[in-house]
Amino acid sequence: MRAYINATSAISPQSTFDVDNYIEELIPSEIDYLKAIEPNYRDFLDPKMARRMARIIKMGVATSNKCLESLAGNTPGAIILGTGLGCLQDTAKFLKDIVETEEGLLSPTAFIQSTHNTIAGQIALLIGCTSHNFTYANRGFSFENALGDALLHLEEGNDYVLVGGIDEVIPETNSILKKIGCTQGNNDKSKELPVLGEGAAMFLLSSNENEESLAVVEGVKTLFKPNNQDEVIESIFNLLIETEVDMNQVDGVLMGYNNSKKDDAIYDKLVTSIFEDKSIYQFKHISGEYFTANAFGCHIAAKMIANQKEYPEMLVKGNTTNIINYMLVYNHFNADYHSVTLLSKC
Amino acid sequence: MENLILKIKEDLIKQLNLEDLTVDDISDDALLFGEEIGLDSIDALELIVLLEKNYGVKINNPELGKKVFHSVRTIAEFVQENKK
Amino acid sequence: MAERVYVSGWGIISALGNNVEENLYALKNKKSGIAHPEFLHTNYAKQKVFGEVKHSNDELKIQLGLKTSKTVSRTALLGMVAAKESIETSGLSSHELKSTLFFNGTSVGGMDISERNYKVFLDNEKLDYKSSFSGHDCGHSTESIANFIGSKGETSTISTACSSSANTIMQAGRMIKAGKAEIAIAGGTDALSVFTLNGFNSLKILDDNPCKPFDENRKGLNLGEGAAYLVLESESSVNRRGAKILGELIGYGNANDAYHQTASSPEGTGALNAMKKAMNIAGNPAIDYINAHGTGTGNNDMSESIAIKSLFQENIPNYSSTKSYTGHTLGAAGAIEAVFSLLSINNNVVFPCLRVDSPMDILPKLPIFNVNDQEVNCVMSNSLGFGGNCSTLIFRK
Repeated sequence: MRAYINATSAISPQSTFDVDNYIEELIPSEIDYLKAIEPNYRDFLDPKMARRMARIIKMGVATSNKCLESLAGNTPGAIILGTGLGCLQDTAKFLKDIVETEEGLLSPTAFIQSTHNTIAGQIALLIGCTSHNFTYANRGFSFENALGDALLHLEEGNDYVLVGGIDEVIPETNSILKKIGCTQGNNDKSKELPVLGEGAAMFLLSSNENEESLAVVEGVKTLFKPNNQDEVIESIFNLLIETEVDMNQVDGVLMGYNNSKKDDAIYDKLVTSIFEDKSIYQFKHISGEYFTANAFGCHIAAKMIANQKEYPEMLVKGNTTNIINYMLVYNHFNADYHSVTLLSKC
Repeated sequence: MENLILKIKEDLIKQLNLEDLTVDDISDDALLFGEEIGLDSIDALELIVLLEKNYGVKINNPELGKKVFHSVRTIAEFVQENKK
Repeated sequence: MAERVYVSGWGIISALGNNVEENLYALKNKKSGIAHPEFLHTNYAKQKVFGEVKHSNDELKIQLGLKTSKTVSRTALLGMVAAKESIETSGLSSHELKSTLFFNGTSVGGMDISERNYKVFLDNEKLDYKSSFSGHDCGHSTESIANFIGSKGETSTISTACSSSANTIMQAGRMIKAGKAEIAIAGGTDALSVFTLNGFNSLKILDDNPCKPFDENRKGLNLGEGAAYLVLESESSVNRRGAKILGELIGYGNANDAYHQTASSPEGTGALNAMKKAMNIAGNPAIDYINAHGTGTGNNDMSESIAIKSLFQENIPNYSSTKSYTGHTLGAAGAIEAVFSLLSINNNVVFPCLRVDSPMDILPKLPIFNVNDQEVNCVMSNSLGFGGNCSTLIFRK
């Protein structure tokens, strides 16, 4: 099912929310992980509504609002989000309160805010959207599950679907993941592990093109725990076959390089084989690594196609492509969750 | 009593995250659950926690809660009557 | 041509028993599973009652053939037990399992382990971080269960609070109907946790005594735990395999209340919309029994009753809440109650609402009080969650 990206908005560790100043230069992070650059939420969120909202919810609401502007007050046929870890800030707060009061007198707000579907629920609440509302929390497929569901909704006859991927980092998570050995500090380049990031990337998808459409989602494929790299390659070709696009037509490939030798091995393999002659791009130097980082990958790929440009330090190999007609976005999480998306110019 | 009312207003703003309000914005008799201040059922639960934690007074049933949380003044009066 | 979606396997573990047969026995014999907890480590153990599964984690591990020294979240363990039974009852081969999709709904995930170790973390004391926290997220439970049962097809985890596993069944149904999948295991699991207990307690919607859904004097819900999965299959696949059919998924609907973060709208708009959507897809069948969400809270039972009245007017089907038996099993509720709905269809019996002394007077019909033999062709099951997430499933013989 082809779908038009009629709007997209992202909050990320670089300046991406402000469309007029979209990643003009890279701003280095001053802390251990890549923290999102957030707008002043007071500019568009009623303080009465926003007072309870945790950071991650504000990120979700802000980017959703931007995407929904073009609907001029109408609501989408479905709101579908993916989040790997959900609302960590409130989860940590409530856990801490339980420990400190020894299951004593507890404030309910943090608990209410901690449920995964709070973000999608709040988005719906604020715009009065009573349609279908799902939240996927499935590790490296959280966003992909949501995207697949969104495409199914369009196939079933909905005109517009709001879909996105969102995750946050809190200092506690960074600390825990470092101790587990999944991530390294931003300034520590020694261990060859990924650096944590966070953000929200939202899309308004439609089966109908309009003058603001940025790009087309031609198709998506996911692969769970492939036995070997050949299965990944096969999956990529299967996507091209299904979308009736030839490998020769693919101009650029955006991949989830994350600085980890182990994780990057497959990307290197693809670059020296089936993608040998392509312009190769990366995006996690901007987003950081997290379960739904691929949502940001798809977002920035759509921007590249819409604006026919690349952004700072994205080009990893090859030449800057003159015209981007087709872009593949290939990402995996921990070698278990692989996804490949084909985007094209409208 | 006035000090207590002021403290309650400060506590309200802090606990309920009423970021856009100052103590001067909340009049002593304003309806807390009316349109002006606009509290809801979750705030009511938070208020019960606040009263117990900060003032040592317990509200055991929702009917009592409705009466006490009418305005800042009624909260202050209840605290004064029941504070241990 | 849209594929029909059949149920060819089921599995369940709850406070009522370890499998479908034990659950049916308890339901038919009015044996509630609600009691003081044995395994949940909480200061409220003597004060509050729960629908706890009557086995320790170690007992579950032994039953599953896992090492007791291995750290596995209770959510995942319960899921493994139920998923295993669903495969056994469906007769799926290990070859077929390789391409079977797995849809899991959960709200707790590995929180039962994270919360146990959080104090040590906060105190910065020595801790095995990997075993304490690496299984925290919802998707990890899904991955563990998928690994255990040998499913290598795509996985999906939905976390929409109390409607999670109704939504996974719906999602699997939609995908099979659209020809995007042939076979899917769909359901959900949630274990009791101190986090959830204290959360619900802070909202003051727990009843310290066994709950009384649809009773005028109901005081709140009891938390429960468990897991259940259905094997859903396309008609083509069922015919090819010669699979036994337990029922058909003919309708489903999800809608958002968009009223308040935790409370349902007084008119039950979300519930009404979900039921209407499901009825529409199902072709407006005659409903013989409603397995209501019926948590026993003041708010839910009122707004759900109003929604049922709006939809069915004077012709209210027989209805009850089996949460009076199991407690509210949160993310697993949709799937557990789907199994109960199918048991109703397969045994032509409807299950009562326990402990109703003074019935609510919203609906012109009272809930069922006894285990009644009744021709049951079509059942509607409601799951209405936090954040206003309302889902309805309709099954037919």
